[in-house]
Amino acid sequence: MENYIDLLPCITWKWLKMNGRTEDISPASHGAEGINIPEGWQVSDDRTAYGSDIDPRSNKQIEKALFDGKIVTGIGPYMDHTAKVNGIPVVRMTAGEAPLIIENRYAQDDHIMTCIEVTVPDGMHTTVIEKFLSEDDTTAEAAFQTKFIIGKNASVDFVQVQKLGRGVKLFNDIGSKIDKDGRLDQVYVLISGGKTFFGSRTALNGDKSACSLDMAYIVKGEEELDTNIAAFQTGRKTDTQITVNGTLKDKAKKLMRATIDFKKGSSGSTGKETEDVLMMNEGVINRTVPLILCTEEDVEGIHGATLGRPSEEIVTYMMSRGLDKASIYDIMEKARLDACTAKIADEATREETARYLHPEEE
Amino acid sequence: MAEREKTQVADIDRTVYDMRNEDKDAYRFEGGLTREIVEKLSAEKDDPEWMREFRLRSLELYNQIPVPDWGPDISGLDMDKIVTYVRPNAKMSANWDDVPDEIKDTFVKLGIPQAEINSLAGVGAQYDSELVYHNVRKDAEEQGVIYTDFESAVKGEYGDMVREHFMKLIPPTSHKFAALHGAVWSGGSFVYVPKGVKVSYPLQSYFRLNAPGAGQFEHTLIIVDEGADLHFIEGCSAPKYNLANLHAGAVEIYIKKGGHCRYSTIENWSKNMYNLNTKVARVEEGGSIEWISGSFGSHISYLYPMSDLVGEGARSDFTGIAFANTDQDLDTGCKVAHRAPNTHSYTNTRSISKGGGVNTFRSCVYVAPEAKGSKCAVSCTSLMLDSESRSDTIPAMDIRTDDCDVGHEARIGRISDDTVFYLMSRGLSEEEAKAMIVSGFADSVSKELPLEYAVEMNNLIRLEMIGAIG
Repeated sequence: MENYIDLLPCITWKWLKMNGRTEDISPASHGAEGINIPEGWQVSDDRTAYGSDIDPRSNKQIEKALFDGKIVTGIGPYMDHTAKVNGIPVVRMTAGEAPLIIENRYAQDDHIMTCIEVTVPDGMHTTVIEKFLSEDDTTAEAAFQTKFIIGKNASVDFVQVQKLGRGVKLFNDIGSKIDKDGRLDQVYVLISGGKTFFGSRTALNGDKSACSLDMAYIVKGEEELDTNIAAFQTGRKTDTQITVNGTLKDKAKKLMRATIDFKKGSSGSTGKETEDVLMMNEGVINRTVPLILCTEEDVEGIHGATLGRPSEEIVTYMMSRGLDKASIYDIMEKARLDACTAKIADEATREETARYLHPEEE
Repeated sequence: MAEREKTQVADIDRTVYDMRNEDKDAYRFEGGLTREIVEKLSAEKDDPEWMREFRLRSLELYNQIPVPDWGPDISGLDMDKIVTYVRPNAKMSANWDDVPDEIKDTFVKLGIPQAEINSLAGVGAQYDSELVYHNVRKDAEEQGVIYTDFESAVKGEYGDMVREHFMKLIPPTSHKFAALHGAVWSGGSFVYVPKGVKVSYPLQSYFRLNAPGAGQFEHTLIIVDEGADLHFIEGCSAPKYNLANLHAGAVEIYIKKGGHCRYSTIENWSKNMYNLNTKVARVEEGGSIEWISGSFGSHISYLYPMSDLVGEGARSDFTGIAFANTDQDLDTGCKVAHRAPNTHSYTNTRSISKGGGVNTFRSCVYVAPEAKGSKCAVSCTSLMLDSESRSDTIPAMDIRTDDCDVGHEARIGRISDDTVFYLMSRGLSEEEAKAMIVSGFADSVSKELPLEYAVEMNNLIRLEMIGAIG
C-alpha cells in the first residue's frame, strides 16, 4: 500500500500540496503491554490487527467504507495497513465507568506503535486520557491509533495531552463511530513535539449524535503540525463543533485540514469549525483548508478562521499596564492552552497539564 | 402532519439563448486536435512565425499534461470530436449593417447593439471562432483607447506589445486547458488604456458559440496603463445541443501603477458546454482589480479568476454568484496571491444549488513572506434548495508572514425560519418574506453590475415563490 496519509476528503489543486502527503511509518515494537486496564473494563482476547484494502488516495472508497459502518481514521488506511504488516496487536476493550489513562512515555530511538479500540456500551459514560510524553531531547517515532465505537446514549470524554521532544515524530490517529444520542468530546492540548500528524475522523451515524474537538497548540522552533480532522454526518440532528486555537512561532509549520461533511439524510444537523491562529514572528508557515461538504438541504454549516499576528490594540493596552512585549506574547500563547486545559474534566490530568505549561510555577 | 410545502425556484427561461442558426455557410475544421490541425489554423490566421511556434509548443504541452482529477468529471468531453475552428460566413465589420442578417439578428435578440447605443464605449461580438463586429466609440478612440480584435493586434502595430504580454500570465504550462488554448486560440480582443485615461463607459465583448460540437478559444488581453480606469464586460451564451461544446478562453489583464479595472462577466452557456476558462490579472503598485462574476450556464465549469497582487498597496475585490441547476456542476471561485506589502483582497461569493445541481466554491489565498501589512477576507455563502443538490466549499489559505490579517468565513444552509418569522413580524406575508430573502441573497452581485446586466442577471434567476421553504 502506498504510504499516503491525511487525505483531504475532497481534494483541490495539487500545486497547493494540501491534499495529503506521503510519510513512512516504521514501527519496530508495540505498546500494547503497557496499557493499564482499569477496573470495570473488559479486554477481548482478539488482538488481530486491522489491515485495510482501501486505497489511501481514494475518497470514494473511504466514503463507501463509512457508509458500510466501518471505522476509517483521520490519518487513513495506511495506519491500519502498517499495523497489519508489522503485526501490531489491537487492544480491544469494552469500557467501564472508571477512566482509562494511558501514559505513553517515549524513550530515545523508540519506534513504537500502539492500537486500541474502545467500545462504549449503550448508556455508558466514560473517560479516556492519553498522554504523549518524552524528554525534550528525545528522538523517536511513535504511532498511536485510537478507535471508538460509541453506543446509543453513550458518551466519552477524551483527553489527549502531548509534550514531546523536538526529535519525536508522532502519528496520532483517531477513528470513531457514534450511535444514536451518543457523543464524543475531545480535548487535545499540544504543548510540543517535533513532527505531529493528527488525524481524527468521526462518523456520526446515529440520530442526535454529536462530537466536539477543542484543540490548542503551540508549534515552535522547527516543529511541524499536520492535521486531518473530518466529521461525516449521516444521522439526523447530528452536531459537530471543532474549535482550534493555536500559536506558531520561530520557523514552525502548520497545515490544518478540517472537514464537515453533511450527507443526504442528515436533516436538522449542524456543524461549526473555527480556527484562530496567532503567528508570532516571521518565518512561520500557516496553511489551512477548511471544508464544508453538503448534500443535504436542511443543515447549517459554518466555518470561520482568523489568522495573523496578535492584535496591536491588545498588545498596546497590555504594554500600557507595564508588561514588555515578550511577556505579553508569552501570556497570549499560553492563555490559549490554558483555556483548553481548563476543559479537561479530570482534575489530576488538568493539573499535570498546567504544570507542563507553567513549569516556572512549580 | 401536513406535508411541508417547498419554495419553487423556477428554471431559467433560456428561450432567447437557445435560438440557433444553421451553420451551413460556415467553414469548419474536422474534429480533433492534431499537429496538422494546429498548423492549418495557424496558416488560416496567417500567424507570425513566433505565434506558429507557440501554438505547436502548446500542443506538445497539451499532450503531456494530464486531465485534472480534482474537479468535476470531464470524461464526457471527447477532444477528438471537438471542432477547434469554425469560421462564420462573415467578415469583421465596424457596422452592424454589414453583419449577415442571421448573425446580426442573434446579437439583436441578445440586446448587444442596443446596449452599445445605450451604455457602452465599444463592442466586440464573436460568433463561433471569429469576431463579426468590432467597434469603439469615437470619444474613447480620441482618448487613445485601443480596442481591437486580437488577431489584428498580433499582426499589426501592437504586435510587439502583444508578444510581450501574450500568455505570460497564463503560460501554457499552467494546466491542460491553458495549453489547449495556446494551441488553438482564435478571436478575442486586445485593449490598451493609456496612462491616466478613464474610460467613461464600459467596453464589452460578447461571445456566441452557435456551431454544435465546436470549441471557442478566444483570447482577451487588456493593458490598463498607469492611473487609467476601465470597466470591461464579458458576456457569453450558446444554444443547447446534444453533443458537447467547449469553451477554453483566456483573459489576461495587466494593471499598471495606480490603474483600475473592473471585469464583469455574465456567463450563460448552454447545458452541454464545458466551460474551462482561465482569467488572471496582474496588479501593480496602488492598482486594483474588481471581478464581478455570474455563473449560470454550462454543464461543467472550472472558473477561478486569479489576482496576482505584485505591487505595494495593490487590491483585489471578487464578487461572484453561481446558480447550479439540473445537469450542472459548477466549480467556481478565485485565487489571490499577495506578493507585495500592504496588499488587500476581499472575496464575497454566493451560490445557489437546486434540482440536483452541484456548486463548488474553490479558492486559494497565498500571502508571501514579503506581503507585510496585507489584509485578506474571504466570505462564501451557499444556499441549498433541495437535498438532491450538492454544495461544497473548499477554500485554502497559505500564509507566510505574521504581519498580516486574514479572515475567512463560510456558511452553508437553507433559508432560515427565524428570518422569515422576523420579516413576517414586520408585516410581510410569508410569500413576500421568502421572496425578499432569496432575492437579497443574490443582491450583492447584481448591485455591482450596470443596470442592464443586473436586469439580465435577475432574469436568469427568476424566482417564483410558492409556499414555505424547507
